[in-house]
Amino acid sequence: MIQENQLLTLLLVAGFWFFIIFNRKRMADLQESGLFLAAFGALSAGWLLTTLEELFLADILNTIEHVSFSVGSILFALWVLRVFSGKKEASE
Amino acid sequence: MNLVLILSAISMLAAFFAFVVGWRSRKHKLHSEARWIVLWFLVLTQFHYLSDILEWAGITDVLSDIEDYFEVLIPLLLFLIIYSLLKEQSEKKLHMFKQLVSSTSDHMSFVGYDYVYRTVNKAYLTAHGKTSDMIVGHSITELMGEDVFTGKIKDRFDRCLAGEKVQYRERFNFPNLGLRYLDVAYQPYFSEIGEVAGVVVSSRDITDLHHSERELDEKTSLLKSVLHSTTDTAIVTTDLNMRINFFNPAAEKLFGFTADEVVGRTVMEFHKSFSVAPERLEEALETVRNTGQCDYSLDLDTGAGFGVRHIECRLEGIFNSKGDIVGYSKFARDVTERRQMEMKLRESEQRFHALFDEISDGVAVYEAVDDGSDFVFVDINSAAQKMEGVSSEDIAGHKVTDVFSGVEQFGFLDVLRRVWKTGVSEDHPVSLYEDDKVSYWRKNSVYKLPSGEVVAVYSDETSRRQSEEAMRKSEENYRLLVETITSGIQEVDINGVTVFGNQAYHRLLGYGNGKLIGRSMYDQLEKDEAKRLYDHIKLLIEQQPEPEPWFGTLTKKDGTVIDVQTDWNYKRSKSGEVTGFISVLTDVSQSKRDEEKLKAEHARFVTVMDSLDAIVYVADMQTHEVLFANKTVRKQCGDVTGGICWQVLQVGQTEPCPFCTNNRLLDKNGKPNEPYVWEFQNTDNGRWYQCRDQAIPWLDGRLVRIEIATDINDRKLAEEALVVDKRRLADILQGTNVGTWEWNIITGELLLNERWAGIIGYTLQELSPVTMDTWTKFAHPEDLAKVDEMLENHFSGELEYYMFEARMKHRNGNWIWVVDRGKVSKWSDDGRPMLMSGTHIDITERKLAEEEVIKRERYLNGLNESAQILLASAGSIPFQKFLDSLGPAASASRTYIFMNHPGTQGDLLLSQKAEWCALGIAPEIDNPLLQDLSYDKWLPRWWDILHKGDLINGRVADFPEMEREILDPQNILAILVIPLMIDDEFIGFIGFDNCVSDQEWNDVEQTFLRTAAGDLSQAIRRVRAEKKVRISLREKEVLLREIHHRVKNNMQVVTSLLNLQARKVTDVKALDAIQESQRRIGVISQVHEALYLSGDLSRISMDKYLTGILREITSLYLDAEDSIGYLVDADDLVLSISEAIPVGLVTNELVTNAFKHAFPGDRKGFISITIRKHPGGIVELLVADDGVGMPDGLDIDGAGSLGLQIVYSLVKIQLGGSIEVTNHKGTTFSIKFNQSKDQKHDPMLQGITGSR
Repeated sequence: MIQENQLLTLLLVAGFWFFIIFNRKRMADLQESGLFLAAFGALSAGWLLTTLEELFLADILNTIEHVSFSVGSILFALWVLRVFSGKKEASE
Repeated sequence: MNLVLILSAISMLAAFFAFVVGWRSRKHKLHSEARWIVLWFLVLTQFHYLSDILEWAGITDVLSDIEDYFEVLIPLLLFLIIYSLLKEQSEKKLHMFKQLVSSTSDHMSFVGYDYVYRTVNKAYLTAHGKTSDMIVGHSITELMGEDVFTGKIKDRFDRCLAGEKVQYRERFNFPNLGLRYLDVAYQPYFSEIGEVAGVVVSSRDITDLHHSERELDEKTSLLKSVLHSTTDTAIVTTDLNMRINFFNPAAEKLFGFTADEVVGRTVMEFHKSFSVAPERLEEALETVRNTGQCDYSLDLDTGAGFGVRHIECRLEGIFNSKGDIVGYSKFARDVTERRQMEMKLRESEQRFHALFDEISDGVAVYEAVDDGSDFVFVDINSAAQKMEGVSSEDIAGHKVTDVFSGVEQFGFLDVLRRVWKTGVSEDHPVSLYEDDKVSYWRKNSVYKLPSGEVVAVYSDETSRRQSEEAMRKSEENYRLLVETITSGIQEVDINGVTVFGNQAYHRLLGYGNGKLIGRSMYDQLEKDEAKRLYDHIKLLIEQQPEPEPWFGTLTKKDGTVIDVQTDWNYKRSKSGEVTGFISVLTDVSQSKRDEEKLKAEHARFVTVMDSLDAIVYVADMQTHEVLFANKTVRKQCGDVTGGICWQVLQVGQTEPCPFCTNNRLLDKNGKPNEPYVWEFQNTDNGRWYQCRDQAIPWLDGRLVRIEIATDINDRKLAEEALVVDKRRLADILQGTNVGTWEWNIITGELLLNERWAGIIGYTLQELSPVTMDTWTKFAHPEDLAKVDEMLENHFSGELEYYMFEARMKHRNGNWIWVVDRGKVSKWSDDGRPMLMSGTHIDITERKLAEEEVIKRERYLNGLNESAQILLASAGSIPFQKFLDSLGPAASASRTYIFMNHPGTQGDLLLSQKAEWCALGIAPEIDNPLLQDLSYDKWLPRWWDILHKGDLINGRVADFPEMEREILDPQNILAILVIPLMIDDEFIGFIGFDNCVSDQEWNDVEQTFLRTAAGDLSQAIRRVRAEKKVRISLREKEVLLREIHHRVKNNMQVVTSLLNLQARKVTDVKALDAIQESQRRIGVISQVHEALYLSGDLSRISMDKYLTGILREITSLYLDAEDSIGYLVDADDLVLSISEAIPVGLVTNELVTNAFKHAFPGDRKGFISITIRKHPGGIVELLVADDGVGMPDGLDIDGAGSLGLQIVYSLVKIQLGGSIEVTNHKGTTFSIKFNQSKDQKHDPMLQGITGSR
């Protein structure tokens, strides 16, 4: 059964993606933006699958959901590693 | 799946640790806000994974419930991370833009739509000398004033608020900087919603640019002026294939083509049309290739209506900096007039030579030799050859002392020396020349010629001198006769005072010789006798009868009274007036008393007669028997006493001589007449005698004829020669076409010859009777006073000759010119002039030629002066100055310029622009009728003529009625109008009025004035063209500045690209290499920045440039900056871009090296950069440090260091210089190179220099 917090999360994520698409040019200038968006995308997929697994293909989607979270976490960890190690500077 | 979960948790844990380490090391660039959000995100995700793991492990699921709530926060935090990163990025950009605006030297401000300043940059505040508080928040009106705002700013500001970008150039007087020129730009500022929220005002100080532009304009103008100014020399330049690329106005005039017609075509095409053989050009070009130039001349008929012109040309090569010919320049000058003048000079010389040969006086030309101690003959004329019996060829080149050995004693040589030395003409009086061959009298006049030669004009005075000598002798004989005759001869004046008395007279009265001179003759008479003699004399004076002998008594000095017979004779003046008497006194008492004494007297008489050289004989008047013959007769004819005179004294007479004078000696009463004096050529010896015959009573009382015949044969011959000479002189005068006059100053009589009358178009008969009034009637009234003055000067002796160039009225009504020259030929005893003679020579042609020459010279001067004024003009034509210089030369009363312009109805109008008026001529410049005058309405005929390039020249009286309505009120009698044409376009005209006479301008004058009009047209054309060129140059300069700006920007892009590249490079050496490259590119970029920011686009100030490089390098070596000092000394040197870039790169490498290696550890030190220019163009760059020095044995070109290899290559290859390293107390690099002499070599400058 779909929980309220899951739907709320999905709505928030959808809204954020609109914001990101709207500001895509500015996003491109951000430090390690590709890595960050990839992480955000993987995590978004996870949240989406969390909701979908309640409707059908529970096992498969659950597995994919966790893989997505895992990939998103790894990517985010990489983003943090790169940004906070100070090896690259933001583009002018 | 569990593994996946664990992996995720580990990943987040790793991210957490990375975050913590990064936070502490401060290596990230994130703001604190973003950092905290990331931290919260990591904490929440850790919590999420921890709850899942605990749930999966079955430890507890309590956290899962809480985690469900927090799960919503995770995407929210992710979004916040994105948001904070974007915000941070915006702030960074804003900060960067603020720094940009603050650091620019342009004055920038942002003004809101309400005209209130929102912000201004530092440059703006510095320029205005105000603080930000004094500007920000205030309106433009408050700062600039209401007038400035409404007058200059508001309109532009409002246009900008409407979305338009506004640019303009403005002059502004800054309180700190003074008067500056600004390029101002108003840029509308659009808000995020696309509305104009204000105006960004930026202004750039272009004062230096402005001055450079002006200087450039002046120089361009000067160059154009020089090329187009030469009005007398045609200049044509071509490329190597003889294709014409420049053709100045003088060339257009000379060759009859316009520049547009010939530019781009080859010289050979025009040579073909002028029939110039192609070989001539080839020969000329060959000469130019060998010697650099070739002079030659051509006879060309350009078809421009000037006939065949003689052109002198010079062809020169145009060489590039390597010395190779890249083209040719041809200079041509029309010398036809000069050649014609030379021919006229030769003709004149021939005429003078003819005169030299035909003059009757001898003329000899001498040249001084041996420093003037002797002279050689250069030439003698025909008359001189005849006199001396030599030919010109015989004596030419011979010394005068060799030809005439007696010339030194003659005194003539001294005269020659003095005249040659002083240049003062001198007369050598009549003197006798004698040498061992010839003897004659000569009179010389000696002059010095401008050439240094000396001329002697002389006449043969031998015959005249011989004649005078004979006359003098004859006079002496008479005096002797008078002195020796026994009768008392007395000469008294009309009052009876004795003025002369011979010895016999004094002796008769017992006085010593001369004692009675000055005494009254009445003193020797008793009172009664004196009264009787007085009455007798009175009768003679009043009635002038034939005087009869007076018999009376005289009282001698000793009181003795004697009887005397006095024979009176009148003494008259030339006018016939009796001025006294000559009397012969005879003591008759003695003859009466003593016949013996009479005989003795007779004997004495005979003695006296015998002593005379003259022939004296006495013959009976009836029988012709010779009663007495003196010794001279006896010597010539033997003793003829007793013979018949016509038989013994003459030859071939069969009866008394037909010329016998007996019947003349007695009056009708048979009494003796006055002595009869006559000349006679003896039939026996053929000699001439002057005979004095008189009837006298002989011893026996009968009347006899005494004849005293004086031999005058020599004098007679001299007189005859004189007559011949006189006739010859008259013939010569007739032949030389000289009019002669002879003026008796006393009587006023005037004698003229036929030529005198002929000069003024009359015959002598038509002028008769000739008097002085004849002269005054035909002479110009203005000249008469001057003639009188010259005559007075001559009469007073101030002038040796009277000479004056006078005007006379010719029969045809014209005034002609004569040289009137004369000299007094006879003076009275008291020094008054009596007779004067002289000549008239017609010099009208010469005078007219002189006047023509003066007029042409005046025209040429006027043309030259006006052309100079036009050449000196820049930006606009000084019409008034042009007319002020041309007007006086043009023989015009009024000179003016009209310019065409379109009317409002589409018709063509003309208006007067400038005017010059002669003295006394009313100006018309303010005449309203002469402004906006319609061709169609008033002057359609003028338009038809002028627009074709033809001129109008004529009498106004002959013009159509419509034109006269305009011209007559201006009192114009004749007018000349010349069109001003530019490339067949009729733009106006220049006009010349004659308000004094209706005389038109002749062809020569028209040609001169057409030239002036052509000069004016070309000047107008030049000014118009210059305006176009100035605009074009300004556009090109802006373009070039923009190119430099873009090059600099492109280099910054390259730098940025390298920056991006560097981020991906981890290798330290590679990173260093990239950063080195960035610095090098930065050095080059600074050159372009310096160029577009400076006023000079071709050169760079090394002081600022090197200081900028140093500042850049030191900023990279922060640690070193505190401990290492530096100094740049560039000595105001400026270099071209091609030299500045390598110098900058070399400096960059050497200074970077010094920072890196010269001061290891904490060593302190100093780096100095010195660049200076030595005499001869050698530039020396010294880069020195006091560091640890270079390793020993370092070879620069082979050094492993890329920097030093770059230095070596730049110095050797690009600068062509040398490099020297000194390793003493640090390292000193000395780089020397020759500064480029011609900046045209700089490829960056080719565009600019080419366009100038």
